[in-house]
Amino acid sequence: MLVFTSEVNQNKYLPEGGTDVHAVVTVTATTAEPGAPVPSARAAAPTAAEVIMIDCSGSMGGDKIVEARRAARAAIDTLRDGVLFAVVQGEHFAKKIFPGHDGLAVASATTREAAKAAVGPMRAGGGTAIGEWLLLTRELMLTRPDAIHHAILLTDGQNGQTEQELDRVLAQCEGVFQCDCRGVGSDWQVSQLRRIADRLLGGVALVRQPKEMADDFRAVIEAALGRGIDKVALRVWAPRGADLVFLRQVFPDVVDLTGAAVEAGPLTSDFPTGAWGQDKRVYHLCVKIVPGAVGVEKLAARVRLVVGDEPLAEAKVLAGWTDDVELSTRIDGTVAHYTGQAELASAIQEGLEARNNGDGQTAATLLGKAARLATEARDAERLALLERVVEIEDPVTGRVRLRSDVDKLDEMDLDARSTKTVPAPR
Amino acid sequence: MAPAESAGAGGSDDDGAHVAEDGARVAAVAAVAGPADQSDATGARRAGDHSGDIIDAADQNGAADAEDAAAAGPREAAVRRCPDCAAEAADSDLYCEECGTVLDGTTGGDSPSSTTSPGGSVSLASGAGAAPLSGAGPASLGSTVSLDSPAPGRGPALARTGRRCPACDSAAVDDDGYCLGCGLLLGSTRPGDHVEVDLGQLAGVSDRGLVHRDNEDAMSLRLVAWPSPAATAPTAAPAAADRGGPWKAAIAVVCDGVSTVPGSGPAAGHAARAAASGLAKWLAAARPDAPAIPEALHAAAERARLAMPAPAAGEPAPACTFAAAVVTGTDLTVGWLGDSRAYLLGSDGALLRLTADDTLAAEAARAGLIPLEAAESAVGAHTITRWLGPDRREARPRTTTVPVTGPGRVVLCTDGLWNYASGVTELAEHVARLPAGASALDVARHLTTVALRAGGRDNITVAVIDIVPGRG
Repeated sequence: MLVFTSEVNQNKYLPEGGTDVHAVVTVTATTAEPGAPVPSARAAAPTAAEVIMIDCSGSMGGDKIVEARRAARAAIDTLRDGVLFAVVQGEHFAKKIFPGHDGLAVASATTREAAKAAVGPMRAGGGTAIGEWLLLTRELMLTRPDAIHHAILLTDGQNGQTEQELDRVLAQCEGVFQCDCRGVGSDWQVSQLRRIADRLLGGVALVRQPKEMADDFRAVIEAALGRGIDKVALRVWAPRGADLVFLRQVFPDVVDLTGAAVEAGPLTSDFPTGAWGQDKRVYHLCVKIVPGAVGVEKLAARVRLVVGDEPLAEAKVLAGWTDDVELSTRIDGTVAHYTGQAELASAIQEGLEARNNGDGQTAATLLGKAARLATEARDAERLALLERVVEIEDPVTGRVRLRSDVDKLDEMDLDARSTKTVPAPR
Repeated sequence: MAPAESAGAGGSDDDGAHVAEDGARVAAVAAVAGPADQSDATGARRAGDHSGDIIDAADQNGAADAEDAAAAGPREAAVRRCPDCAAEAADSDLYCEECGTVLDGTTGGDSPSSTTSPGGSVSLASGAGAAPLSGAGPASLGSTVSLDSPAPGRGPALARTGRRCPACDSAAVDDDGYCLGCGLLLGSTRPGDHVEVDLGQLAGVSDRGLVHRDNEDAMSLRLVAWPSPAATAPTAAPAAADRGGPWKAAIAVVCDGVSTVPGSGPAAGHAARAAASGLAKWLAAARPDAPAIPEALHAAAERARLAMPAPAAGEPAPACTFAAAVVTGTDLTVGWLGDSRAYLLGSDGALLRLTADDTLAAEAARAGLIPLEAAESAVGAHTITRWLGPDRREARPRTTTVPVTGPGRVVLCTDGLWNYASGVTELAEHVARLPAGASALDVARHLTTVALRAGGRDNITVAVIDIVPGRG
């Protein structure tokens, strides 16, 4: 049973003629106290469906396929009784290696053992057509539309399909299942997996060592199975004449949701957020509204978390025009923090891209900015990642020097984790 | 703008010399035009919806014409009155015996010029329950809803507060007093700061803007059955279908009160209402083949001038611009004094500005004294040379008539809009950003928004008439 709470952080005051309203909305879902009110029908947790996609292309040979099999077995062991599941072997086509019958298996001691046995003969060979794997997974998920659908995808290489092909597949899979993506080794492309993960409301991470795979899979599946409510959307109302400049999730990671809007009424749009467990997610939105005269106050946006049309939580974003400059120039600390976190993510991504394109100056500027922002956010973990790619000479001003001998995995790790954010200080 | 001859009040209206105190205006509680539809969540006033052949009267401030209100006297519950001239009417009358206005089904105090409506919508200044402008610092509003309480009514559901937005008339107002149409916190503006009138094919928006202390613009809109009842059988009283369908003529009047002269705002309101009601009466009595709508415009302007209150001894006379448009099935006629404008946006791409500003700079440009392109920026660009005022000997607007050859829109506006979209092409480009099926109200709202986003330095008033050929 989940209880949702919401909180808004903003400075509602705008100067005369001001139009842009920024706010950070924090939504927290926690399990209700024991002895809380009697559960409704919906309190019975829906069935979970889990599909495990393992890359078995030629490049997976050696250690990687051995560890991938081990990871798959660990994942299968994590599936509690009753969970629906399947294992998909991915090459230039997709093949369901478990269950042997149509659709999904129901987890039990027997089926888990059978699935683990089926994983044993997985061999590396063939190409990488991730779109095919996703389509098969979609088909399997659609056999049980009542479940909460999650998949995990492991790959070590680049997709052999065109971007258009992949986009078409992603459009079909959106809303059907969520997918966390894992890359092993250094031959996969962070940006490619990120595109898949973003569209399918999942995360992307580098598994540095093949032997880390099993633990990682276990953690991903535990988190997925902990989600108790699916098809949750942010429903944003903005007044007539307003434009939503952006809506982005800024915690636990940065995801731009602006383009994902689905019209839900005359002044209302829905933004899918997938399934929720015990979660804290933070959203930053910016709305351009029709200005009012000094003294006028308006509702600039109303943000609701909804399932269907049922509201789970609501937050109101306000705007008030003032001629008091001290009020209108004040910047809310939480908004500033998450603005910095989003800038940090793009500074890292663009900085690494510039570095790979041989534009050292731009790379140093952007990665320096990242170092400065990470310092401001007191994000030691991020600074450690940055430190492996650049030498931070002055963390306060962001003066850095690019390192010449960078481990490819360090760079990919920095890239893959660029969207991870730290919470705003209280 | 400032009249060229108003001694000591020279300069443009951007000088910041505004009316000091205007109790009469504040007291002019906004009223809806006709019975408001409570179920209408879109927020537009739809006085035109309940009958095919009424005269819809809609004034920006909703205050009754001075003359009409005086005639109406104390409200008598059972007495049916003409919404336009307030003459008594029998329950069975379809037309006013006095002025020919087509009567709708309402009685007594329900006339559009009353200050309350059957919908009980006029609780707007109270702001009761509205969230106060809380103290400085970040605001935080949130809510808690548990998943096990899906019962409707619990949680952050829309409350039926019974209140309506004073600006856009939306009935959707949330628990905290915010309008779920335009977002306004009820009570954070004064009546008249933003007014919308929707008669369907004809709509208008008037907004105080972001800088001026008061909204001294005024507008008045009317729809008149057309061809007029007088043009049909003298026995009258036929259903709309007998006259060939519910065709209507549209009348829009916009007046911009000169902000440097106290009292010009209310005077503009009187002028606009008097002109519109004069035109409505003329059209209601006219045969389709009657001559010269321009003559009616002259008479209406004169009526407007006479309706403006005379100043106290020794005080400067109030002044306002005048721009009126009349669209019948066959013609579009505009008349103007000052720098309020009319544009024609033809659906076929024909774009026309129909008025020529009566300003010092525009006259200088027309005389070849300054370049044409300087007419809106040179000294005197906002100093009007012709206007309506109780001290003027007569009001003789210039007029233009163009035949209605296809669908399109007429945009009537004060300089609060055209300061930010002067060229007809620019104006048309703004309108083109709206979806194809945009209503007259959508267009008026959008153009007002354009001016507000651009700075809203003056009052903004925009009236829009959708032209449907052959249908007024």
